[in-house]
Amino acid sequence: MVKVTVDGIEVEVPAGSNVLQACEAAGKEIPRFCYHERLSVAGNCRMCLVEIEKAPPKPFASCAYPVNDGMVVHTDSPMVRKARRGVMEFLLINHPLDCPICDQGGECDLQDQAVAYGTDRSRYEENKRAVKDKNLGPLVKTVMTRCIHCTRCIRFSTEVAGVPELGATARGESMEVGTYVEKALTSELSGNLIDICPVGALTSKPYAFVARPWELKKTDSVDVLDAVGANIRVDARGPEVLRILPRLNEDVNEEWLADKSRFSVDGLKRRRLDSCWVKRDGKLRKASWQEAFEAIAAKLAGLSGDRVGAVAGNLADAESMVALKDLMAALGSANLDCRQDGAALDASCRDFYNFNTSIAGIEEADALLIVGSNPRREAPLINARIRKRVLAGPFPVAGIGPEADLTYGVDWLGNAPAVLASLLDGTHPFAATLKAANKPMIIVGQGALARPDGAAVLAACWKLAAQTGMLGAEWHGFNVLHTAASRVGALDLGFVPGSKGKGLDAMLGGGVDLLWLLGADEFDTARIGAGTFVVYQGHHGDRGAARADVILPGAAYTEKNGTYVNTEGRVQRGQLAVYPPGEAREDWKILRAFSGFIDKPLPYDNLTAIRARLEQANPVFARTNVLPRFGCSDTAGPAGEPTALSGAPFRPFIENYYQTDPISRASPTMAECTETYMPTLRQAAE
Amino acid sequence: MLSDQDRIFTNLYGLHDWGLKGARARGDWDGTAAILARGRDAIVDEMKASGLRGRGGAGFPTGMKWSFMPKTIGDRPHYLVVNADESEPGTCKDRDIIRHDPHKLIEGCLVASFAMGAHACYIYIRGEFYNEARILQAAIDEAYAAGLIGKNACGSGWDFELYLHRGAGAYICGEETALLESLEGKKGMPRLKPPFPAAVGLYGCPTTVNNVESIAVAPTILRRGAAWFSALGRPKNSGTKLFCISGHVNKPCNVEEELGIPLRELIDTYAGGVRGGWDNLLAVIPGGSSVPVLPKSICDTVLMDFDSLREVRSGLGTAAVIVMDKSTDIIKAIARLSQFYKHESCGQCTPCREGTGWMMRVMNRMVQGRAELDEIDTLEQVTRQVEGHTICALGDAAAWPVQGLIRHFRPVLEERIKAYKAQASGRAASATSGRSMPLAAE
Amino acid sequence: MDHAPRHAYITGMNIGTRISTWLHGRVVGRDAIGNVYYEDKHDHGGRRRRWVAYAGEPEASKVPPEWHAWLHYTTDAPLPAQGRRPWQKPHLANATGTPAGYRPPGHDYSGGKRAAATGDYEAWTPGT
Repeated sequence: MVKVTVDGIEVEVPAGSNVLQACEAAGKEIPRFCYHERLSVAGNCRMCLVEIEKAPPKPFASCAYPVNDGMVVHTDSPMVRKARRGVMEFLLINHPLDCPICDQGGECDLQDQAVAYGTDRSRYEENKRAVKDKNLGPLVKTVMTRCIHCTRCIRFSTEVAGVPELGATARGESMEVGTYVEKALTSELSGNLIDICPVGALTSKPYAFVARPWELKKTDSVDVLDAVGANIRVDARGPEVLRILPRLNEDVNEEWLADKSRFSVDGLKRRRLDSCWVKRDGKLRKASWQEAFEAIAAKLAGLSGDRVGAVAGNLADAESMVALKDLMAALGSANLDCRQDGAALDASCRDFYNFNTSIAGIEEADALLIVGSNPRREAPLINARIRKRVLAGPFPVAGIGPEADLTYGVDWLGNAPAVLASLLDGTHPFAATLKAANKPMIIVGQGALARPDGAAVLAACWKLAAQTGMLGAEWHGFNVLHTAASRVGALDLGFVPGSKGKGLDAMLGGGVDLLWLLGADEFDTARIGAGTFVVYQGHHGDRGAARADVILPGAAYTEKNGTYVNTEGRVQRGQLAVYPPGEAREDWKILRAFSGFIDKPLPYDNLTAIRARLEQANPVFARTNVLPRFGCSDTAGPAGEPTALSGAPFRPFIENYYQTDPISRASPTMAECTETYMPTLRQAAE
Repeated sequence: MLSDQDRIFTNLYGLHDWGLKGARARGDWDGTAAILARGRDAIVDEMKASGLRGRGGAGFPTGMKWSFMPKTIGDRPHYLVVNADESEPGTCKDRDIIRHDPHKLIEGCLVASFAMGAHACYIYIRGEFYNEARILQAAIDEAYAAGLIGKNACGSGWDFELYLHRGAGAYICGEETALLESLEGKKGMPRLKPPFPAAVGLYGCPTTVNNVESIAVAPTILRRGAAWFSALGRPKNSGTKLFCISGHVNKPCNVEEELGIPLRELIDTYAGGVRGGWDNLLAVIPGGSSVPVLPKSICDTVLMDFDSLREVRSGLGTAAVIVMDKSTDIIKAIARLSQFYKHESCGQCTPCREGTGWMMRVMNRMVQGRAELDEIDTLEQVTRQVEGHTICALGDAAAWPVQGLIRHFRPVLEERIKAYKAQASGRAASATSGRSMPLAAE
Repeated sequence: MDHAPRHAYITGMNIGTRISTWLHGRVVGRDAIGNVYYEDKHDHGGRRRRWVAYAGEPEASKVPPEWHAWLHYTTDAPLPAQGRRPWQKPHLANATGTPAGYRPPGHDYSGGKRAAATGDYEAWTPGT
């Protein structure tokens, strides 16, 4: 620690900090454009100038100046003020000052700092520079004339996103930020460019000219479009969600957000289920809640419990799942499943299906094996974390599965379970690398589990983890990477076949007469037996609704107070930002109402009561947001024969990153992304 | 006047053979192994004692710069980088060294590399110096063939590799850290300091960047002794220096002279005097385009060395003396320099990127006089806002010529503006006189 | 619009105004819907007070433009009612708040369908 005096305030900061951090520690605001905590230091905006005593009498860029012991810094001396004013004047001479038509207006660093540190007029009388706009694809809109050349975007795409596609061409005044040859950015994190751009040069294309920040109601929530559980802020105006921004959470998403989570919002306004539908004479007709409940009750009458089943979808909140589970129990059914993809997840122990290392824990690991997963598509934020770890130092990463560009070097060992076997018997050289590492970790993707020999792969991975020292008392290196936001919560609640209960395959193959789909769309509905009466409860008209006999309109994740458990087992709560459209209601309330309708009332009437029920079902729900980390206490592996591996190669689990769920499938923006980034998929679908 | 015995660059005018044979005849590569045998510290101490100041413009003591390199070679190799990206307008000293005396440079590279524990040296040569690069490469090949460099260079037991790298033609790549970036294959943009190259330089390794002239004089200094070199010139400004005299003189030339020679003597002795006589002198830029211009009144007496020129608020820079006689439009001349700096600004940091363009545009208007009188002050303030606020010295270099102009030639600027106003109002008057109605009534 | 009675002030004026009008008023004229316009018949120096007795409900917007100009001293005499252009429509009082008031197409009482607005969502229908 070194002592630094900032404007007379003495602070202690770690050695190696820069002056700007010291000033922040002293509570002094330092204006800046190019400096960003998570990016390398560029020091080129010259806005953060401060005066340092006993140094040459000129202002220093505080972001790039290391602290020394006993340093005396002035952040508000006349020299500093003059320097900032000068820099601000320079920044503004070639800035168009088109704030009234700029989407950044109201949340613009340049606006704020010009007010705080600039002058009230410009002395520049010449013509301003104009720069041609670049087309960076369907997500990021550019108005390059507004660019102040802070190069945050260049550094973000090179360092965090790992796609060095942005750069500066030409020099001096003619310098332009762009993609060299005009092309769409190929990053799943490109939306963050919008957040880090301090001016309106990079703005959101779908959100262009939609709203002003002060019109929006901001609600803290949790993202559900992948299993990372990124913390988000839902910005809504009236009944519509206009945009989604990331919220800072160092343990989960830092301050980034994946593109699908950010840009799928327009999907929340399309193909919505806003009233009940009941199938009469082979045709779905609009109905009231009363009629819909009557239709279901009529079907239920006389059905024995084991002819009723329920499937929980990928976006379901824990409250609705526990309510559905309780409803099924009241009906006498144990036919439950949440694993729509057929993944051989073992719900008997939390360690078997969790991302036990935790996302932040990746940074402690020192070797990684990825099995049957493409984290770049399945969880871009976790991929960014792995990349961060790779950049931090030696971190051998090997992969078993189809080769893919993960933005960092991966040693692809092959695409067959046989490689896993050779790692197990120690014949493969990477086994030695894992053994030699202090904190090795393994990531098992859904692509490795959602296959006939999934249980064997899971068991083999666990065995490998046990053999290579991943399952220590202090360190847990066994990780399952989920893609569905509801999955860990469902497994925590035991939303799997109970004793004598039927699993998904059995239910679909005519094993039940009434199938309750709670937002379940991710399986082939043609597999549902022709005679099965399907109740679809959800928010989007997707595959499930198309097959349904009765549709109950539910709420999307922005429209309910829901609890979600992310892939690392972190319990987080989303909040209601807008009300569900039309007749739609929060899902657990629908289930509660139906239970009352059939005179088997569930014992909870409000959010507090159902959350108490959640805690009772599994104590993990009592601990929200925080994630205590444990080592592995029991190395006994999941049920499954590690040697029963088949020869079939692993397949990519997610073909199209941009459309994986009902919301993103309904989103025109995501459709455009699919067209831009995955043209072959688009053609194949048509 | 410097005696011929004390000249270091004895083939400055290319009258003799530039090759190894000719160089040896002039005393190069003489006892190089013995110099190296003195050891690292002795060489650095000798260089320090000689008082040699860097010849690239900033005038930082060369021996001290060498001593900043880590004493022992750690896990990172040391590098010497020679800055032959001589792009300063008016400067052509390194060009002639490379053309006519390349072996002085190569020998200097060996000695300097040894003195800082570098086994590899890169010479970054300006892209436009095509012929010079060919000559230098030929000289390097000769030296390799003769065993003077390479493994066991000169039989000293020191392994030394020398590489020539051609730049692509950017003034900013003459800045030491931008040069390193360019050498690494990146865009030539200056790095932030600290860390200095001696700690984190080329490929993240300790590096020293020296000017061609600083390196080329090193072997001669070591051969003839620091005492000889420091006896030349004035205290703290010792030694000889190549002066490049250009502009309105009768015989533009490069010449080696002692530091501290009066400017007038320099011009009159070597360049045949100012065109039309000394009284026809308007101004002199004494050290390449980056330093403030000096009016005749100062030129009469000023001495050509680092400290004397600093006292008159200019600088020695690269000692490129640009002479302008009274036929010169001084405003246009400085406006051209502003244009140069606007063109060559790398665009990385704000004050330089925006300020150089602003200065150029105002200067272009000043040339015509199409400005207001108070804009002179505005322009001055703009140069102050650029100066000292940038990552590298290009911002300063762009600001100083304009500051010099305003400091010494403000009446010229004011006169030009007034003349333009008078002319413009005359035009307006003649335009309205043909009409029967005043314009305001329309 | 209610029917204009012959003596507008009988319905359109309260007792004080009626006395004041009887004492000071001189009828200047009446308009198409029966509003009666008065001017002070005594000269007090300065401009003479001008007022209107409404036919039926007192409602300021009932005054047509030609009388409105006179009433507010914009013109010395009311604009001539004759010589109206064929495209000039008869004056209508402000109907806001009355059953005749304007209702936009999406209004519940006007029954029409509202054009899509930005806050709208698109509902799912079977087969899409």
